Amino acid sequence: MPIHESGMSSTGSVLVRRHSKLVVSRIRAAWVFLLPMLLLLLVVAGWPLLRTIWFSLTDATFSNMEQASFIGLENYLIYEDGEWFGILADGLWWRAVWNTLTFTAFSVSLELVLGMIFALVLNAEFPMRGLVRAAVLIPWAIPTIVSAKIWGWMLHDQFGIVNHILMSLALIDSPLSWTASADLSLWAVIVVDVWKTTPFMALLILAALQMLPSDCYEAARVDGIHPVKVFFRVTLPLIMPALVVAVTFRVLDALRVFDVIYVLTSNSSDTMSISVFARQQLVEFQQVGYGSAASVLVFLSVMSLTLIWMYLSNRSSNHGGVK
Amino acid sequence: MVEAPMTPVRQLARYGLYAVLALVAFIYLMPLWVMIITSLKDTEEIRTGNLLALPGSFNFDAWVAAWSSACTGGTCEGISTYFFNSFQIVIPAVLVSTLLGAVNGYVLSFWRFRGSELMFGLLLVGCFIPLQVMLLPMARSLAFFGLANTTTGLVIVHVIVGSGFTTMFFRNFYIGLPQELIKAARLDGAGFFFIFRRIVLPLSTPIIVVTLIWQFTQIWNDFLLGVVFSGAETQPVTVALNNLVNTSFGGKQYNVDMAAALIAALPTLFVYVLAGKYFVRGLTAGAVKG
Repeated sequence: MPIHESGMSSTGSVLVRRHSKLVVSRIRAAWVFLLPMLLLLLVVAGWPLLRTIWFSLTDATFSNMEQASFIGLENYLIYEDGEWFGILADGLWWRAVWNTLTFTAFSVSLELVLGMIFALVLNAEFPMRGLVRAAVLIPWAIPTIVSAKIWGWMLHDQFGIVNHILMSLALIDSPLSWTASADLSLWAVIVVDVWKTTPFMALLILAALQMLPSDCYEAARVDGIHPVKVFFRVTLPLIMPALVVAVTFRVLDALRVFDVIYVLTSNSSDTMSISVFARQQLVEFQQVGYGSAASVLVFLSVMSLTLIWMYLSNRSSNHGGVK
Repeated sequence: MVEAPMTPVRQLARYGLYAVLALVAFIYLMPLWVMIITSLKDTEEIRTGNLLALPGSFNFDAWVAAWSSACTGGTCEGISTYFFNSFQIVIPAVLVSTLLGAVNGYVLSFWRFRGSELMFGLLLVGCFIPLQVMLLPMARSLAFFGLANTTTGLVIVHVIVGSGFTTMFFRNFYIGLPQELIKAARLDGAGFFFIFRRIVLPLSTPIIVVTLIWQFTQIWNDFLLGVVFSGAETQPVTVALNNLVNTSFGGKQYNVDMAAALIAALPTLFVYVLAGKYFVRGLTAGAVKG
């Protein structure tokens, strides 16, 4: 998503430079209409963020929120009596970081590959295509809590269909407890997320596929080039910008994953993501200071990734490569 | 691809391909199948019968129970109240956030000023702020205005969280409209709001459909904000679903659980069946692109 579309802003900037009376009044009008958004931004990002950052520097708990005192960076990291304390020295936090990264890496790459295959299939002509396109979207459309419920039931250790099928295929000899076992639960969460989000990825890729010029393909067909080669040499490079956008979108979303993990496995440390960690500290342990520090760290990681991404897409669009 | 003359072998290969695709589609949609048939069975049949098989007799007892007598938390009145709560939250929140997104997107694409790009960048960051960062301060702000645990409070939170996305959708769509249109209108002396209402808005149907569907899905499906900002009386259906106490004398009632899940999913399913085509078409027209 290039933020600066070069050439597009010419109207605005020329008008600004001229500063005629009319333009000034129009710019004022624009500001008036942007005011709601500015206020929203302030309420959304600014104020809560500042409060959270402030709390993260105090020893606040739910009971003493008003009398909380400033303790500097102690919630993050402090060296005391030969030992390190604070979130950055908390094993559970690093476990959550590791879980989140594993979850993000596996679910987004699986969604990318599967979504690409889905999109290529949905882009081809076949009977009942419209129906299939709508049907494929259903897992994405239903509430996460509903899909977590379905999968919780399907992965049930006693009555679950998954164990039932695997056992009748003789792949396992005893039922597995998918959502409770330390080795399996993170994978169960990834499977559910992939099932749910692949349609969305497919939709974004499909949108890109439909904008491809058909003459490249005609030329390739006339030259008798193998479809697989056409895919890697023509299709893939052409939809690369769209893929970058889709993947970034998903990565940023996956990094703050909460509900699928929380509903499927609640607060188990085997699957805990950084968002689940922050919520647990804040709401369950009522450690406002500590929990806020965790939230700030989540925010900083997402924020810096967004900035890097904006910088990169900006640079590539200025070089005229990606538009 | 299809235009090439088909030899019998290729024809056969094509049918083979369809068969494989149908199988994949079946496996992919199996969870939905399992949900539907489980909701139509009684507890006994679930425990003894084949999990994939159709129920011996269709009975909607579980549906009735889920709707009007299942227990959530302390009360046993089914999820119907919460179902309507969800509508009370979703309808105003979707409308307001879509309208805000349209106005903001319009300003950010046609009335640029110093700093408008920066503001758009900030807005994008706002889209991806982990919600946990704002939960506690937001709860305190709502309490300050006396809106804690109310439907209105939840609507406001959803509008705030959603307008980043809606603005992005509209802005990216408007960027693709011809600037000459707006320039000509300006030369003719048309004002800010006139241009918006008479020129830009009539061109926006595809993106309005995308945004409405997107926001409806997001807000109806939301769980986290519902858990945090709703009270016992005002919780949306997703939260009630999670609180469903699904035990009775005979053990867990998975059929009621699945029936309730289906009911909670029905509105979004309905929207997709009805308007999914336009959603796909609108997205293809470039709602979520660079």
